[in-house]
Amino acid sequence: MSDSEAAPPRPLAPFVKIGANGKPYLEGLKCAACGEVLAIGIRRACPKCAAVGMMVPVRLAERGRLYTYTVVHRSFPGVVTPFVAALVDLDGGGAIKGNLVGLDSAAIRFDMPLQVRFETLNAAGDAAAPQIRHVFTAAVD
Amino acid sequence: MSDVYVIGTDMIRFGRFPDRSVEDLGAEAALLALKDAGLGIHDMQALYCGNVGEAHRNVGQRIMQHLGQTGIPVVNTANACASGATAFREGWIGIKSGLYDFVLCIGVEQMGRGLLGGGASYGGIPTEGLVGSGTMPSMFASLGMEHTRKYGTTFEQFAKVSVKNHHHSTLNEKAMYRFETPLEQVKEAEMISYPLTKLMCSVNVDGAAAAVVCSERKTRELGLMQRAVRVRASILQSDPYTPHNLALMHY
Repeated sequence: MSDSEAAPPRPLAPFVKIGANGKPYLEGLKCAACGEVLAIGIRRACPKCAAVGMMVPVRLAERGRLYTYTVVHRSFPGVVTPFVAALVDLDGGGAIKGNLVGLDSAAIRFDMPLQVRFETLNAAGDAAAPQIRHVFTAAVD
Repeated sequence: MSDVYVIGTDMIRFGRFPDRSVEDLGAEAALLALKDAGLGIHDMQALYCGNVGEAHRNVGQRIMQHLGQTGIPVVNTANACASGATAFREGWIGIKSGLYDFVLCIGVEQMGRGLLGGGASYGGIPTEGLVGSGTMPSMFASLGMEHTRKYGTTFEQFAKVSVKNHHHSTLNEKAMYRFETPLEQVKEAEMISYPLTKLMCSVNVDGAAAAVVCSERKTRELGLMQRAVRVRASILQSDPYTPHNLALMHY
């Protein structure tokens, strides 16, 4: 008899994908006309150059630089604070939001190099239905 | 094209009115503005009404029920924080084009209480605090930090904006809160999302304002040039593409 297995973790962001090997990665779109890379799934026309039907899926880098951030101290009931909400420019294109973890807020610098890590969570209180989220940490060169 | 003038305007006292309807708040402002212009609803040829909270529920038409249902065209505008300004702009366009001589423009909102924004979720799971933040204070705080990144703007400089804003409220007897906030008080208020403390965040409030907008020809005919204010320009823009534009508001 086998224990009931947890379902495969579900991503918490549209640009987080789970590969066939079960490993998470980031995917966005690139405009074949102007080369702009988006982390958001806009497909019909390019939001930068307006070319129609030229968006193709592209794997996003898992390293980037901090563009802007805030330290959130007050949020909705049940949300654990403080946390750092960051906006990161991924190397090669694409900008994504996420939590910046593992460092004191006093150590945060604009443009600091960051890397993406993936974590499995139990945000719904059901161990059989986990989620996977991305976070940013200071890049270790 | 006609020149455009504001010949009457007023606002209601801003506050919290959960027991009043949004159309009653808007009608109160409209009647004050009409009185300021010395005109009535029968003189108006179109109504433009800015509101977000009930944007799909015909607030402008409901206000007409409280003013006199003369059957004029009503356009409801929903453009986030620019909803009222958009109502005014549409009225301006109606006059400038020569289509109308008199229009009534209203902005009205009931904000409720508590933190705005957030509510982001993916796959049925709320992501606030797990994948960044979607609250309004955190969004504006991130934009403020972008200003810091570009120009070196300090926490104290941001706080001084609130000192100025609260000072202005003491000059407006219809403002909801009317008190000075010294700089140290602003800086030491509860931190909501750095660099924004509680005194640096907008208060949720119910309010309404209205303007009677008029063509140059009719302004002169009515002898109102001495009090009329000319609208010299109106500009509206949607957000042009930037690499961060798509990420900051949503993901």
